[in-house]
Amino acid sequence: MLTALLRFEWRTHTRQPSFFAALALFLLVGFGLTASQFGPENVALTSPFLVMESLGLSSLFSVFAVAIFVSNAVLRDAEHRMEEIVFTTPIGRSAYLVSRFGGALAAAAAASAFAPLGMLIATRMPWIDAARLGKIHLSFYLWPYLVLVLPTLLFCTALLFAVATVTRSALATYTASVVIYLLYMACAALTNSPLMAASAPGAGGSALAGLLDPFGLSSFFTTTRFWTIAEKSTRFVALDGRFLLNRLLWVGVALAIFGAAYRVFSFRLVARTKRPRKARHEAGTTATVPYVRSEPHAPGFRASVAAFVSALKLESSSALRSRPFLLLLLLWFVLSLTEIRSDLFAGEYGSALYPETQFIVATLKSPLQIIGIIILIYYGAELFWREQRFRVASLIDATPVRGFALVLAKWSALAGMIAATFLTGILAGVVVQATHGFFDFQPRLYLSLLYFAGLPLVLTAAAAVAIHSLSPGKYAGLVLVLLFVFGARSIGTIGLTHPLWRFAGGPPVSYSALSGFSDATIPFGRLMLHWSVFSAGLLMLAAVSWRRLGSGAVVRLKTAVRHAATAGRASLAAILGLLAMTGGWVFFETSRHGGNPSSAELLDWKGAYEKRYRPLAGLARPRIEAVTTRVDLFPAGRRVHIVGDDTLMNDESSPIASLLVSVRRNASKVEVSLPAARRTVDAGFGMVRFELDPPLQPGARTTLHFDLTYDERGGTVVNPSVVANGSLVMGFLTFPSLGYRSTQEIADSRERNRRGLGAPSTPEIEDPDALTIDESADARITLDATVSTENDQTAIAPGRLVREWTAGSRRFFQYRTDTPIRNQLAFASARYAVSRRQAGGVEVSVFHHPAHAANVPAILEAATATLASAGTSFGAYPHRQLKLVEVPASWPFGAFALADTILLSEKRTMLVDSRDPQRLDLVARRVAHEIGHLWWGYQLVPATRGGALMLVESLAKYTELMAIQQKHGAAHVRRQLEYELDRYLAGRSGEEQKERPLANVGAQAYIYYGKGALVMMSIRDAIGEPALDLALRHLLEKKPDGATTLDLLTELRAVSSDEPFALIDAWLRKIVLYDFRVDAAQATQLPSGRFHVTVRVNAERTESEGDGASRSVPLAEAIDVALYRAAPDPGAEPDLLQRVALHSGANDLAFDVAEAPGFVAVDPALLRIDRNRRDNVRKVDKKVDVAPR
Amino acid sequence: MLTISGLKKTYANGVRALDGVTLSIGRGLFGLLGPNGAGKSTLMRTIAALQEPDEGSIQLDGVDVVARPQELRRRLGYLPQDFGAYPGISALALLDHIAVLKGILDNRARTEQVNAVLQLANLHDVRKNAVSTYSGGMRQRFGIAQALLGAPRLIIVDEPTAGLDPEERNRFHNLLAEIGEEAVVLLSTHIVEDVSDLCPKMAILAGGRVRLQGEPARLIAELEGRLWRKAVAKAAVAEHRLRHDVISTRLFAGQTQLHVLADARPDPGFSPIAPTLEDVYFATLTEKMPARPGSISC
Repeated sequence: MLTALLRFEWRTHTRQPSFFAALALFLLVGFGLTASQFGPENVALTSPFLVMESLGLSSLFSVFAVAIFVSNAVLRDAEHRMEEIVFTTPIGRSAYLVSRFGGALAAAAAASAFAPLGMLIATRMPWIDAARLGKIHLSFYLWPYLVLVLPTLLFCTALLFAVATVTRSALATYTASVVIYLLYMACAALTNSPLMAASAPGAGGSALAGLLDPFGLSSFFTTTRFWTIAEKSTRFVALDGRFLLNRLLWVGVALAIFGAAYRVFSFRLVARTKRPRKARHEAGTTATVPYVRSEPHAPGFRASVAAFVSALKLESSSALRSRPFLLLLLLWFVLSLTEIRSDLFAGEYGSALYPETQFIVATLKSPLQIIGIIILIYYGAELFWREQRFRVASLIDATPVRGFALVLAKWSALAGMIAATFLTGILAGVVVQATHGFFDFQPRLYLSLLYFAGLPLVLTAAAAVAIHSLSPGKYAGLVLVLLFVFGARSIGTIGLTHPLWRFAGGPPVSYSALSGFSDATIPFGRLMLHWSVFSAGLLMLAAVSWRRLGSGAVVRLKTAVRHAATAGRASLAAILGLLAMTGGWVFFETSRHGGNPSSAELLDWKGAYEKRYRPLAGLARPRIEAVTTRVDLFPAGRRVHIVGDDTLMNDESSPIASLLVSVRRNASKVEVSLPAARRTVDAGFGMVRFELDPPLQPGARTTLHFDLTYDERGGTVVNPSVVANGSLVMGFLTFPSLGYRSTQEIADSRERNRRGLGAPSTPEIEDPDALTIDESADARITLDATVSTENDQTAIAPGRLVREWTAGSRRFFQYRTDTPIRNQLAFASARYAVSRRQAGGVEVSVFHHPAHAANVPAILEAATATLASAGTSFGAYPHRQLKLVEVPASWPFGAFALADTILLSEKRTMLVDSRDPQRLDLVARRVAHEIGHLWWGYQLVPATRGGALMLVESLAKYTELMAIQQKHGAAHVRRQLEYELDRYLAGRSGEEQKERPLANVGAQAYIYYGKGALVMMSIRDAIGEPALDLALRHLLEKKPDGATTLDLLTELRAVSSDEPFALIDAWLRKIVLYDFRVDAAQATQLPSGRFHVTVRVNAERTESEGDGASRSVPLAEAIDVALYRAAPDPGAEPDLLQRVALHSGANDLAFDVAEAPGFVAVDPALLRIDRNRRDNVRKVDKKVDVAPR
Repeated sequence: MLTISGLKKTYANGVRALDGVTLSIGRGLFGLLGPNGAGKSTLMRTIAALQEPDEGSIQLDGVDVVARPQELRRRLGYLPQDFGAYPGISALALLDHIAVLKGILDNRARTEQVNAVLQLANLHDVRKNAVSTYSGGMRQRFGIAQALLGAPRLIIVDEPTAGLDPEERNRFHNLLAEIGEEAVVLLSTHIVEDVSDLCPKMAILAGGRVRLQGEPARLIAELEGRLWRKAVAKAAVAEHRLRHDVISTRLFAGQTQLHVLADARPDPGFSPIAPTLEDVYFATLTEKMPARPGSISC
């Protein structure tokens, strides 16, 4: 009996179009993941880790597929009014429920199984890089399907089945599926999932969240968080630990839920609503009223408006009455609170931001888009098919109402629901702000969300309505809308990148308090106008095919076509005419402003540039000795005009006959000239080649004259330099440079391989053939710059301000350097407020947006303190001025140092709230780090080799940590090192190439920042701060230009004895990792009242290869062991700190202390890089001594 | 005046629902009788402009309904055979909504009429309850109420009395008769009594064609003196069918009563009976209705 029922269920499900839609979806997702060669580059696409990750991701979709299957299984009797028939058959409750549940589960399992199939098919595709294809083992696919996908399906099916059984509502079932998804998102955010923007600090996030993720993905990511490439290529995720617990928990929950649903279910028809207040009126007692005819108003505008209003009232009262929708709003409210709080108060290094509206708006934007799409997909179908579903269509269709009024009402109701979610998110933002005592709500900024994120959704809702109007049925329409939405979003990936291809799409618009909305508002507005007209056309189409005459989709389409040819001809012509106008306008403006090259175009350009010009990189070239320039900024005109002369000197030993000059290709007017030289221009690559006749003799000078304009009007420039307020013109993005520009090379090695380019050009540290090709590192210049701007703005340039004057409506500033500086220029202009402080002989000024004054005292304090301490440690600061300048948040850095200027990001420095002493002081940290660069990077300019960034960034980190220690003490530093360790370990796990040792580091931030900070502090511990500072000072004195990490090692050798140097040498030249573990700790009270503490520590030291493979090496080092009374946090001071000699393997230690110890910790100050710090601390067991005295 | 001529409709699945229907219907009640599947609902829906005919024309007071359905909808009251209601929406709200859709924009006039039809349909006391919670009979009365909104010139009621108890049916009949004084009322039913009680004119539809139309009384008169009844055992029915024009059989007290059409008493076992509309109906369905001038039988 059960088998027969199950077979019937299976047949029912597999004959639904929705089954095939789900199947196609999974096939496509699986195929897409593998076909896009997803995952780290050195990990095979068929490796167990990647297969599991891909399947896990595809299982996120299963919750929605399950919702469709379950509502079909549970609700189809009611929907097709078969309940009476089915419920009165002798079928038992268990057979009924088990077969319905089993059928839905089987359908979902079958559909999900198409994801691995899609992945397997994708491995056969011709574009797949053969190097990324490992051996295909079916077990790699089967295992994750069994342990990851199936338990998830079981849980989703059980929960949704229960919801459907209890509520008998499809909408409630869908809502529950969204709830499950939201639960996953919350867990992902809390466990620092790689899929979410990194937010939560600390290693691995919360164990609870890992457990609570119903998809098991969070625990999967937590388990594999620190896996190296080697492990990702070979290791299976074993079903143990948290992962096992998670899977068991959710299978258990699934069974419990099914059990509960089983108990609740009964074969009784559900009384859908309460009985009428008066069941039935006695017939025949009413007064006989005469029938009055009421002449209808003539059809027309007024009638349509009235119908629209009445229908909208009806639709919105239904939406507001709908519990699932209210539940969705409530959940979204809670989710927004968490999201906003996590973005505001769990930033980098656990820092907090001032709860400004602009940040909340940025946080809400993308989840709102997702929720909006979910609403228009689900509720679009619900709203549009309501008349059919509740069988009122024939009543409504018999009235003379115009389809337009009803379609417009449905669309407006959908728009209203979307607006309600926006307002809910905004309410959450206001609540967060108010609870943090922040009351400057900036309502207009909040409302801008409705325009920038809401309008595209509302237009998409119009498309959804049009699609439903032509769809053969509700579910088919739902799937079509889904396909449309994803198709519209991903149309760029198939090469259709023109904005006119992307329905309701517009360029991303950013906001900054300093510079306001970005100019992308202009093209955005234009596109919105265009798509609004388009949507109006779609709504008209929906209106025409509204009445389901004859019901078939084909008939309705014919009706629409016929209407368009007859009565609708005028409106159709009007819409098409308007579309041609708006589309033409968009097209014209897009081509006029060049648009933006797609990323693929840009990469191709870079690849071609490298192929063509890299061979010329070794060409001898003169040195730029002096730059005299005039920079005219026109903030309102979004334009900068740069005129200048470079004094070139040939300091080579032979004459120079040929000179390459590189000009940014976005310059709109280019004039470059050199006296007595023949010029050839390669405009496509922005390269000008001069043949000097006569050649420039050694020691001789010549002048390169340039005259360039950058015009950024039109709003299509992604990261504009010139904005209304807060312009920043970076020299390396605007000024001409000599020779090949290596900074234009493609960094991503996958893209390099695709274009047949070799390894990137940062040479290995010990490569003797490496060319020094950095265009600025080897040049120090003197600068004489005159900058002009609008007369209410202040302009800033490197050097000392020597003159300031006003001429006409413009203000002029002349800056001059007193000593040569590294050729790294920046020119800023805004309506700045200035705060100044004198520190020694240096004038420190902070130029900031008047509204962003909160952090200025802290910035001044950190700057002057670090300036003083770094001066003492490494040698005096060579300039008489230091300018700290706020720049708009759109710049992709937290801060950026130049020789005597530090650019501070509006968001990441000026609006960071460092008042809470429980948090790391990000403001002081950031400023101190940049001050460090005034030595490391500007006084010391390393050779362009592996390890160069260690000399720049790790040494700046060291300067920063010392400044922090001075300000906040050692505990604060230890807390920061926790973050640095996490950054390093997580970074090496995500390494796509090869992890390099610190001394040979490439563009690997996790190494030169994270590991650099840890190693510098370890060196300081090993040889002492005075010795380290002395070595650094010597390095700077002896080799300000072209230093390498080998020079650093030489200086360190000079100040170290053999034993610490051996360690230092290994830390820098190798990848050394430690693992300490406290296996046992016991305290016995002695007769004297003191305590005897025995501790067993397991110690291990490994050396790792670049790909993550590692081997054990013997360890014999002096390591700190500390005893604490209470559970230690990184800030706690130990009661006993002892440095003990540890060797590889088990070490038995003994201590004699006066007070009863509570906890023991190994290496509390993070002086070694420990792969697993969780087991470094252990509670001390108290042993009651019962021995007779 | 509703004029239908040569109406044809074949569905995508090959069912020929209307096969050349021609009718001319004046003011007053017009009964459309027919068995299930005769094409009644298709005809009703087509006249109500809810679907389009393949061929043929429909004119209401000279206006071409197929080409200009909006003209019809302004004057239409339609009670579909099967309909539902939005969940949770009260009768008052739903009627008000439909009234707006019908074009009654004046608030006072609308309120008055909605109240009036609620009372006419005897729903006034439960007007604030959700229609979705109504019993079958109440829902049917709601359907009638909404069909009366506006000033319909044509009222189409499709199987209106299904689910009504006799009292309600009575009230409903009175109401229809009252409205019929000013409008064309097209009543489709398979219950013969509805037509005989109410309709001065009628037609019988079967197999997508009009088999008979005329005034019930005159049609009944056609059979006067030609209808005979005999009670026989069940086993003898087949034999009688062979020998006589049996138009209907019915069980009565364990025996089968045969109605037979014949100019003279077929055999002594038969007794003459007075014909009813039901006999006309059955005679038409069995295609034994005598042809005569004035009654169109196609």
